[in-house]
Amino acid sequence: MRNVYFDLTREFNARGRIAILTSGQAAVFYRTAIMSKDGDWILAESAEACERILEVLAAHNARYRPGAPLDIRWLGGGWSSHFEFPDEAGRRIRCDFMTRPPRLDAAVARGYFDGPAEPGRLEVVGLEDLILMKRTQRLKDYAVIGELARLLPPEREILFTTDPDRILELVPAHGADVARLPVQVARTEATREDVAIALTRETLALQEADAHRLRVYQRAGKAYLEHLRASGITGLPLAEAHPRMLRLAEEWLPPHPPPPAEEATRGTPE
Amino acid sequence: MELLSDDDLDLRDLSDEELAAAFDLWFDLAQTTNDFDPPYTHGVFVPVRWPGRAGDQSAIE
Repeated sequence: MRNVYFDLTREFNARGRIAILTSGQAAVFYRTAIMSKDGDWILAESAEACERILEVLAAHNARYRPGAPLDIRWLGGGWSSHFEFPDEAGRRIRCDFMTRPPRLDAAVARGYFDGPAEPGRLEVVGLEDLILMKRTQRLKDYAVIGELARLLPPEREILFTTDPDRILELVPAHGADVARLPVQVARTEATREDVAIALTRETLALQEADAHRLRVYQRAGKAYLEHLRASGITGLPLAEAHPRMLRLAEEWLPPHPPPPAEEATRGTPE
Repeated sequence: MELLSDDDLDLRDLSDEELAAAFDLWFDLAQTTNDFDPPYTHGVFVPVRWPGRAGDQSAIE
């Protein structure tokens, strides 16, 4: 019995580190939660990395799911590429790739591919970067953030935890000089309810920021997706689908959508 | 306040092999809900709903 997504990570990286496991499967790696049926990777932003991924996926008889082509012209603009194939047991394997994951500085994402790879090590995103990526629209991600934050040293946990009780516990020793609003509230004569309300407001702001970011891509990708759906490309083998996806994207998918408004940074350490 | 149950947290006491087995078994069971999953869980196409899928009522939005 194996984790198919851990195995895919090793397969992608067999000729050099190009793919960093993130999101739900990273939460599995950190032994926080088993709640994701998909695999997500931060991909090195290079033509060679894209070529390697397509090679591996083609060997698994994968198909594109509707999304951007796996090409740095669009990945560099923050678009995502999506694939699916059945494993030998007929289970649905979904693979999603980005080179510019949300809320992660581009230099930080690039940094994952610097330096020599450690033999035998599963390439997984760091805890704090994982937490930043999980600040999505989905409420369930914030419960996972709270559990991931517990794995951090206390002076870092206070910057990320979504648990009002942990904030109250950590504030006496680690709350000074923390700009995060729920922590500032906890440093006053606040009740647990006050801290919980501040955390809820922070979560709502983060959710809205992510929703706003996605609305920009949704608008920019609408025409492309309509043409993609009509084309039947996603039912084709990758060798045939990929060049056709590129031609469609060259015509209809802007590589760089208009930049989103500044994302909510409340709770993000500076 | 514990946000996850003790059983959930017990993942940390699993060996690598036990963790892989736990995921593999869960993944098997989770296949039963595939038709009801959203088309995307990550990436920039998360809000997109594809016509013809279970639960979809609209064109590409």
